[in-house]
Amino acid sequence: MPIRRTKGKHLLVVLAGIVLVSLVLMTINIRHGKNNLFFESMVVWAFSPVQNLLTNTVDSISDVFDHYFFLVGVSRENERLLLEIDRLSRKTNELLEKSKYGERIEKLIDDVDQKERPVITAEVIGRDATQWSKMVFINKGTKHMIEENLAVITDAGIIGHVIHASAGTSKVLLITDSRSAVDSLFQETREPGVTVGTGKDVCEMKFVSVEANVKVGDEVLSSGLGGVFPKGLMIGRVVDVVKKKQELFQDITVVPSADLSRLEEVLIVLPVKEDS
Amino acid sequence: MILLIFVLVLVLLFAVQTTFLELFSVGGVMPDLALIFVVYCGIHFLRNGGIGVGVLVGFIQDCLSGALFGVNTLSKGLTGLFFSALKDKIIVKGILPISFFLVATSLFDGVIYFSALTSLMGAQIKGDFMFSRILVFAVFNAVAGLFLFYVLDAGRQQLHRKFPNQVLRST
Repeated sequence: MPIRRTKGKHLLVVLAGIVLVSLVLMTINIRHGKNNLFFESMVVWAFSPVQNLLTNTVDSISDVFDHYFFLVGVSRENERLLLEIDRLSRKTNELLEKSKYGERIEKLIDDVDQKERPVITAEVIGRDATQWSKMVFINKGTKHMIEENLAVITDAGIIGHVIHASAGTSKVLLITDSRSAVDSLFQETREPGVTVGTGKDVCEMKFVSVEANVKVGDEVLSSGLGGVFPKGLMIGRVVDVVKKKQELFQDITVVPSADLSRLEEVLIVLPVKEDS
Repeated sequence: MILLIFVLVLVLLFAVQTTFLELFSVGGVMPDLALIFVVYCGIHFLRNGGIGVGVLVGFIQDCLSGALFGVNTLSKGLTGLFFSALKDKIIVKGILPISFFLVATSLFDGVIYFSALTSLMGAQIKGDFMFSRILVFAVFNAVAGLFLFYVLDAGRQQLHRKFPNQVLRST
């Protein structure tokens, strides 16, 4: 009986220890906010070579499958692509005209922010180790001038921002994560709102008044407020709008313009250096 | 030697979890190899080794995640403690008991994360979405867990043949 009681006490002490250690870690995380934690950097540093190796191996294997084994329907695909090239050529001409028009207009307007933002390219080498958070690892870190709160984009639009940077790798919180929020506006109507993650593959645009004219297909851009994302970057497209008369705001679902499930290369937007 | 093999298995599990496991995801849900590994170690480590493994694996998972730090240390640590304390009192062999415990621990893991995220981080997640996701996660873990248990069992027996030890169960 005394042995059983001692064992029970021992387990209680261990239980209390686990809860205490976890609470201390959570408190450190919440109090430090988005600052680097030493042990976090150490673990990320230790695992990144293996992640790199595995990602490259999987990419190579999938490349072999794509180019040698999945040749069925290539001829049909070729015909479709030729038609697509024709369509894109016409579109390019149209855009060239518009671009020249834009250049002429730009000369007339005294733009406040004329400086181009420098970007760094990085490869996605891993994803979140848990089920619940939407985060990716990239192969650039503090030694490549990456720091917390830098915007991460692709040619299609915003994908997220850096939440942790260690020497050679960084963590990027995707815009679909339930903790992500991007101050945004609609391209057409300039109606403001906040695009928040849902934990699913889509986002929601919050705080858009029921009076605002929002349609399916409207494009959502970053507003530049909040200091993380530069103004005018594409976030996504509206796919669902629900207006309830008794509520102040609309329920708007936005699909990110970038394909977050197939991220390979990304761009990190560096801060603009002020010339003194 | 056993320590070295343990570290290699751990590195491999996390490397797979964070790289190409997503290829096998169903509706964005994929199995949690770390959780399955903790349940396995809780059952098969002699004495209270499973507790240490649970805390260590949870801690590494926290480091490799964008979620709130400490949540995985808590859930995996408690999982390790549960199985270390009760492994001799409950049936932990056979397909049904293993599947049952994997489903139960997955539900526990999901609920801890959901509670931490909504209460401590102030995230807004729709409850029905989260709970359906946790259910799929639990079933997926049970299926993947059976396979991983089989592989780990084979490795454990091989390890005992080559390096007889007092760390892992021999049967």
